[in-house]
Amino acid sequence: MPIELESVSFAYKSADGSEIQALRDISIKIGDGEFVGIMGHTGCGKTTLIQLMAGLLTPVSGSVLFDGLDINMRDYDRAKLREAVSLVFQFPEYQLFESTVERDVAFGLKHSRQSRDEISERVRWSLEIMGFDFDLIRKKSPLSLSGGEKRRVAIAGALVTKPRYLIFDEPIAGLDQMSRNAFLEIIDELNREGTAVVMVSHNADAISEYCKRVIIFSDGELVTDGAVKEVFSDINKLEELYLNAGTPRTIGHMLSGHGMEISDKATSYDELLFAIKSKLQNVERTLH
Amino acid sequence: MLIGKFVPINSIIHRLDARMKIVSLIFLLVAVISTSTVYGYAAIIMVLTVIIWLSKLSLFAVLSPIRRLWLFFIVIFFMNAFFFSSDNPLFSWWIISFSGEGIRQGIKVVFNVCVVMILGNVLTLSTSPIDMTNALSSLLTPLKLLRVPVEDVAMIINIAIQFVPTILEESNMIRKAQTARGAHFESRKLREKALSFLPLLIPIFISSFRRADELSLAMEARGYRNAKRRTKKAGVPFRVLDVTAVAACFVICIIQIYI
Repeated sequence: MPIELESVSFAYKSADGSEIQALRDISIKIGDGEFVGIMGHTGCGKTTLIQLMAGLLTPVSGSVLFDGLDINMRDYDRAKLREAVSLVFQFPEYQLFESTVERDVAFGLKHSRQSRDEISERVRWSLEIMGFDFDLIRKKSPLSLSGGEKRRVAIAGALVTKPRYLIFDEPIAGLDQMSRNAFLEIIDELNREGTAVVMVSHNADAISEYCKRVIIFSDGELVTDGAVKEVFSDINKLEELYLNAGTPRTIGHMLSGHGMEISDKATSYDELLFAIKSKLQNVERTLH
Repeated sequence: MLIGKFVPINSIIHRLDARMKIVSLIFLLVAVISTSTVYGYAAIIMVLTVIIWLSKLSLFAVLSPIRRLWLFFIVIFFMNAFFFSSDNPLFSWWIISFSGEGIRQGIKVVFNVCVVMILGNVLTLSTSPIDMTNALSSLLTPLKLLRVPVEDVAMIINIAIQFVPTILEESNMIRKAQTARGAHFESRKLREKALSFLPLLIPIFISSFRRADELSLAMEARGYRNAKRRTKKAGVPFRVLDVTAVAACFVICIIQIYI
């Protein structure tokens, strides 16, 4: 049951009344269980796109379908969409407001018809996924936590509805290396359990390592949509768009350019090191 | 909004020095209040027409506060018309007395309020908020003798105005974020409606304080000290146009008072 965008266009009204075209004729289909990265420069329409997917904006033309139904029709039940699709904005730590972490995380279930025990169980589940000890954190004020903790609490608040689709806007911006890796591992785990993940990011390394599919935008238009392996192996095209394919692939590509013929398919440092090592061993073998 | 939002166009009124505009406004207000003859009113209307014409603002924008307050004008007209105590009323019953003077008084009050609102509106439509705060701080300088921290007050107003767009944008963002989490902002019941704004208000409140904190540190880091007398980058001299405008308004004021 996918999220489908059918030739969607969107324009913002500027201060003097003229329209600024943010997205032009975009058609995308994101299926259950996918792990999609969205790349592009600032202002290319990435954030607008995910807000359209979550039903926070209404397209100027075209339609957004979820489970085959147009989410912008008047009789569409938005509550169902909100449960199935969670959107985590950039810097979600600024949306916390409740008196305790437990209440804040449970906010998304406020209008659901679940019993108190069920809700409590869900809150425990989502906080534990985000690496918290539920009993230690539940009564704390979310505003007293550190920046990184706040972000994890906010993400727990998005997980609490057990969404089938998780959409992140720049989730790893401003995180240190350790939190970044921990976060990406959690998301990867959720994806393996069946949650579809859409991640807007400037971080080509993260997309290259975790996503299966990548969509690239430029000036409100869809430039490329394909498997990460294929899109990221065309490094020249990415360079034309002033993007890169992640550090390991780029190093592999540069080494090849300097006469060291190694595969530029390496997505991680381990793979790259392995490729270099086997190349050097080959060289050694031929010398002997 | 009762007063208009600044419309950045190029006109003589827009180019006038903001300090002079405020002073001219005060003279004109005195002129309006002290007018009592029909000729006086005709003169005021002529002056008003010329000002609006010079400002190149649309009549729609200039008159919009009056359009929105029509009920208020009707009420103050009848209040004056019915409760003006006169020696020869057309008819009187209980505390109500209806007289020619009352009607005239009603028209006069409504006319005065209308003119005051139009003039004030032209001022805010033709002056940028920054110019306005600078002008206010400059005009309030004498209050320094009374130890009123005029510059600080002007700085506070200035910052408040500058952050309005930022806070609006941020509240829009937080509203979307909370909607994505399942918040409802469109409940019918008043209590629920009030409570539903908490997820919006608290984050905005917190971030406003955070921003204020950061801003004050940034200002101090760049050498801002509220105790020191601050100088302007360049003093703005009065030009012939500014002086002429104030002189004209002053003359109108004097004539209205003595005729």
